[in-house]
Amino acid sequence: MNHNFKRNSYVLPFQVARFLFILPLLAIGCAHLFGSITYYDPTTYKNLTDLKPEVIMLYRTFTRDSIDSAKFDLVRLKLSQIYEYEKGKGSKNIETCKQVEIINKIYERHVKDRITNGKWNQTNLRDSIQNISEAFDIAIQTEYLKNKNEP
Amino acid sequence: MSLSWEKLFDLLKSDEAKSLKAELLSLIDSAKTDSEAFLKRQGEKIELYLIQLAEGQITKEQFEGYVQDIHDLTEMHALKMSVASKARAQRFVKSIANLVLNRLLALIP
Repeated sequence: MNHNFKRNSYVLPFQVARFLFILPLLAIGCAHLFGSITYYDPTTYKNLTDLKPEVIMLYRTFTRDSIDSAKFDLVRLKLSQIYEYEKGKGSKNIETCKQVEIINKIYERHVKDRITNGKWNQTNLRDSIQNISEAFDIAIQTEYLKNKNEP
Repeated sequence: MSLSWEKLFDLLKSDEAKSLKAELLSLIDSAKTDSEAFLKRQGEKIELYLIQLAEGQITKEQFEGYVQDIHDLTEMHALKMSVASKARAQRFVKSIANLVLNRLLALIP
């Protein structure tokens, strides 16, 4: 009996030690499986929240007869700058990078529609603003979901 | 009562059009009743675009473009979900490191 007790008193710390050894490995494996991501970046958040109203303002001009191609290019430039900034963070930032690419794709489609089909009616304006706003919102929310790099 | 976009399909007499109408109705209904707000909204938007197309408020090309927008937004939403799960895993790993490696092991003599 006493012998069994002695054996158990060795077994228990062994089990705890095994658990403590396995748990971090499990956690690391889990993180590897899911892949790692960059931390929340206030610059990304600001870039996206600043550009969203600019694009909406530009879209509101699409109901007019004349078009301002300089403004199209300015938004293109800002989107390219955001894309390069996100791409520079490397493979851990692939999701945000792809999201910016998609925003650019949606923007280019809307601009092409305005150039080829002429000025927008209120329906075109409402639908396009809703979709581009939603695209920016998803990217903004995605950045906000990331963990803060705090100790 | 059928919506205006359904009447658009009624004008097309082919069997393919009838089958497509049924499939679209099913797709829109399942999206609109989905528990996830994002999918529900996209289902409502597809229906809205079909109505706008049927009523001549948007062109066929614009309709195609808006449906493409929904496709792209769904891809963005999937990327957002991916970040959400990675962020949870990252928090888990950080907690393990903090609770087990730093604090618990320090308590064991």
